[in-house]
Amino acid sequence: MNEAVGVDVANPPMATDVSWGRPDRRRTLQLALAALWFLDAVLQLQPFMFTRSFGQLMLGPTARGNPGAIAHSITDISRSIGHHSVGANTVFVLVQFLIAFGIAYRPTVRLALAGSVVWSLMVWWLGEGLGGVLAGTASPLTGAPGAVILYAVLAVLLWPTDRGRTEAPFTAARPVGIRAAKVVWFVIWATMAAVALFGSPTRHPSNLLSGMGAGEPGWLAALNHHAADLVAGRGSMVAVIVGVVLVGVALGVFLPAVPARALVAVAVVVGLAVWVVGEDFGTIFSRSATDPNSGPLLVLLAVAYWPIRHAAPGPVVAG
Amino acid sequence: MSEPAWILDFFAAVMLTVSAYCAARLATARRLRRTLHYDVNVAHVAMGMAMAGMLSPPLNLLPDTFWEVCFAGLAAWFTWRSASFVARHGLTGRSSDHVHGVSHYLTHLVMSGSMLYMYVTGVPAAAHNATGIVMGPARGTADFVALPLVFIVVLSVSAVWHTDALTRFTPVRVAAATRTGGATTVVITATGGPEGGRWLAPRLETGCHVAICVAMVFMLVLVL
Repeated sequence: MNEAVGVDVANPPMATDVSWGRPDRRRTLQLALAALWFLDAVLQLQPFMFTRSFGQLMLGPTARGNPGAIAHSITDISRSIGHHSVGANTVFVLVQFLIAFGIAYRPTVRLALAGSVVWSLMVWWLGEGLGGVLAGTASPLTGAPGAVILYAVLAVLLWPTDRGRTEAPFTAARPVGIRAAKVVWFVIWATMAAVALFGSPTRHPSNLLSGMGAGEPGWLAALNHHAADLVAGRGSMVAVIVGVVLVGVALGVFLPAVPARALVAVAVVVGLAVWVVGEDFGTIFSRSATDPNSGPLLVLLAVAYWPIRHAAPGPVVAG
Repeated sequence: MSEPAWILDFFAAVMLTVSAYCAARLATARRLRRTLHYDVNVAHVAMGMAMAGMLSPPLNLLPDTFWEVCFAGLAAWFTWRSASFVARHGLTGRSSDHVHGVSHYLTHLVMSGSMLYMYVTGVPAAAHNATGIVMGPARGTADFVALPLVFIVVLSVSAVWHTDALTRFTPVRVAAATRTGGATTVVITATGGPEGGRWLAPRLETGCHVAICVAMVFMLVLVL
């Protein structure tokens, strides 16, 4: 394909190399992250988000149970958003579209990833009440420690730079190094395990799941009810099983490649199961979802840690 | 619960612009002897007009049956094109041209299917409700949401994938320029695309595709 344009210039411009490379594994993951931001932005365009109820009924309640200073800040901002619902939501939509297309457009990928970290931390605090971790309302079955914090983590792990002299064993290690990447993985999954084992909600999974079906399609509501019936009266056992599985996943990255790959695969399955059964696809069908929730992000995170088979030892990968 | 009217009007205006621009591309490409995805631009014209009509009832000038036949035809066309491409080149291939070829037809098949889905399930009727700007769940689809969810995922991925490919068409400044007197003539040539030939404004074509994806995902989310 050629588009020829002749121009006369007094001083010739520098020749530029804009050879276009097919997206590698990390770039593909960045594009998946951008697609999730894109979906966030579109979901934010739903009618409910432009009403006062979005601030007061969706954001405000996340203050409950949090320490005073955090709760006050959430209450204040949710009230303010409620009073300026159309303007505030329009800004939210624009920011999320900018992040999505900024990551997708190669010249702006760094700027957009950096912006997404800042935005994610703000939303995690003011929009999700720190994922309910400090409030005691969190459960990994429903998205703890909060979907939006995973956006920030992924932005860092998919940062387009390389650290280290050898080829990274998995994509997430490229920008931060192997040790730091493994610590990040451990902290995320160990936090989920701790919340599952010691938090109250996971010990009452039947309540969590039976309350999920409202507003969902019949088949999904039925799935919720079946799952709730299955775990009814077995809350402690469920909490222990979930906790043990999550601890295993957390430790997986410290194992040799073969068991590590198996446990990362378990992480993918956990992410999908949480998304379908615990999160009802992020309640996307109930017309009140602001994002697809943590399930797809956990899967994306797991893929970023999938051990890579290197054909032979090679030089440092640039860029 | 209704969407703010200005959002629907904004998307309707964008869709009309896209539709008019793609129609202009079709008209000028042959005259300028430039290469074009004719089928894609025809599809963009139709989708832009149809979605503008869904978003803003005064722009809905043609009967729903016309659009249903139109998008069924486009879906059949892109199905045939996809099958022909796979039959000629196989399903797998590592070159970017092969990936582009497969995804190109399949994406437009999904887009045509999405439009057909919205018409068949009665979205335009929903769009006409009450104030004329209300869009609600598609008729009788409360328990049949897997298909639009697939559409949403495919179109979201397509929007970011095509944005990523925008730099593929960034002009390359050829260093070997001819110097004439004090001035230098430099030929700027767009880098490669999926096929040979002189392409008509590939970045704008990509921009139209992304805009249609955004509007379509927006509408599918509203009618889930």
